[in-house]
Amino acid sequence: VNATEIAAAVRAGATSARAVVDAALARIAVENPDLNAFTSVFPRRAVERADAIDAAVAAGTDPGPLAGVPFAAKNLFDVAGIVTRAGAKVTAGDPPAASDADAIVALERRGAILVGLTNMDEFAYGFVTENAHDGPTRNPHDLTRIAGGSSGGSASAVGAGLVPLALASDTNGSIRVPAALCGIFGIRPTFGTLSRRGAFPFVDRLDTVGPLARTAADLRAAYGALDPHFVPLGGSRGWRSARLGGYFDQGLLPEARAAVDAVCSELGAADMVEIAHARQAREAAFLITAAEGGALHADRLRASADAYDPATRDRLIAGALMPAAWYLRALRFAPFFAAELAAAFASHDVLVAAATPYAAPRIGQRTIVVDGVETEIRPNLGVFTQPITLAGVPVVCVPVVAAGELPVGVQLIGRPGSENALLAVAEDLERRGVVGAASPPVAA
Amino acid sequence: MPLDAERRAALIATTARLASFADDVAAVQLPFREEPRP
Repeated sequence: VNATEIAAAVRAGATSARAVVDAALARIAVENPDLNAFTSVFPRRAVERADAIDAAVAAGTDPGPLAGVPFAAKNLFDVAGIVTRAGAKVTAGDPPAASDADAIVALERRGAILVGLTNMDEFAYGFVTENAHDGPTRNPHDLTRIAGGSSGGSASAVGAGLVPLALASDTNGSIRVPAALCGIFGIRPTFGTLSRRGAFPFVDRLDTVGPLARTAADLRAAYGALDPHFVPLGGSRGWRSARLGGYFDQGLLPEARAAVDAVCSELGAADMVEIAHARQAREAAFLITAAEGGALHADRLRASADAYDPATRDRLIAGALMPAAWYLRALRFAPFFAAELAAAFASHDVLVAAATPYAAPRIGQRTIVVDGVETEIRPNLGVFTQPITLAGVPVVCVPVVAAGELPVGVQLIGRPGSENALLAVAEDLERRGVVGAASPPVAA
Repeated sequence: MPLDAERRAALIATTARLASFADDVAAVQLPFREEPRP
């Protein structure tokens, strides 16, 4: 059941928030041992909150547009009284958070109910959620495969139908990559739009937070709850769409190319737009990430490097030792690239590109052959999300699921502040049956 | 902090990748000055 249906039923008194939360907690108890999506569950907090919402409905008070909707949050979001882990062991001795993160507060203020926290790549530095401390999160469409990352636990939980919504973060693709691999919707908002207070930082220049959902309407409802200035648009408005070519048209396996073809065909995106310096944009985002991530963790690394996930540690150390000149070059390049992308938006409203080059690889798989070249999976999964990150523009990731195939995702990229247009396009595509979350075999 | 051979190799490989990326980004001719005006 999706979020908007749950909220309508709870507000109408047709079902209780308590029944919805009990059902979600029961699903998590049964399926999480297979998925490893949740790292902690808060039954008491969730039940208390549900009872308060049911009491409000009984008293004739509207609990809000997300009334009784259970949601999960990546374990880098603060929850009052809990130590914020951010997928790490080295954070275990930190003081508990004094209050909930702003994103959690915003969803709960509109009636949603936090049920637990989810697995991630350590400190959000990865695209696979094969966490050395908490184990790998599994893809609900094939338990032998990764869920993507770094918000893999949130995406797996939503993809499996354990909860209809989850909070995640996206620095270089950490919402878009797992949304794509788990076959759900996700949005990376315009940089700076949503409050990051109470979200464990990674790269100040690039970090964003955003929701994941199983339907485009749910994604709009969740985004609307998070962005106080959001004004939704209804229906199709004749958006001018184009396909990103060049860099974005290379190194894809057939399933990813077919997904982009399907979306472009439906949008009438006949034009191909090339962004001249997309490769360097990805490289600049990579450099900024290494430098800022390394700087953030330099003191902890000095004291307790061995407590880090080996997959994260060496990249953070390399970043901490990186010459400042490399970081400054990347910073100087960023506005140049943003202007290059802005020029493409002079003639188009939506740019379309694959979210990942292929569907979910197997857990533990290190390389994949693309165009006859053996490629490292871990950095390569973000090859199409990372350049867009640098420009700070919003992206909605939509799922394309062919019968009997693993899901793949497509990025709908817009100009800064155009979340409402991108969400309207996603809803339109879903209505026409081109995109949509697949029924998870695990939950079936 | 002691580094074993495997970690030293990982660090060198990562740094080499960052160096190559930095060179590639630096090769882009930006349409504005890099040095402050006198």
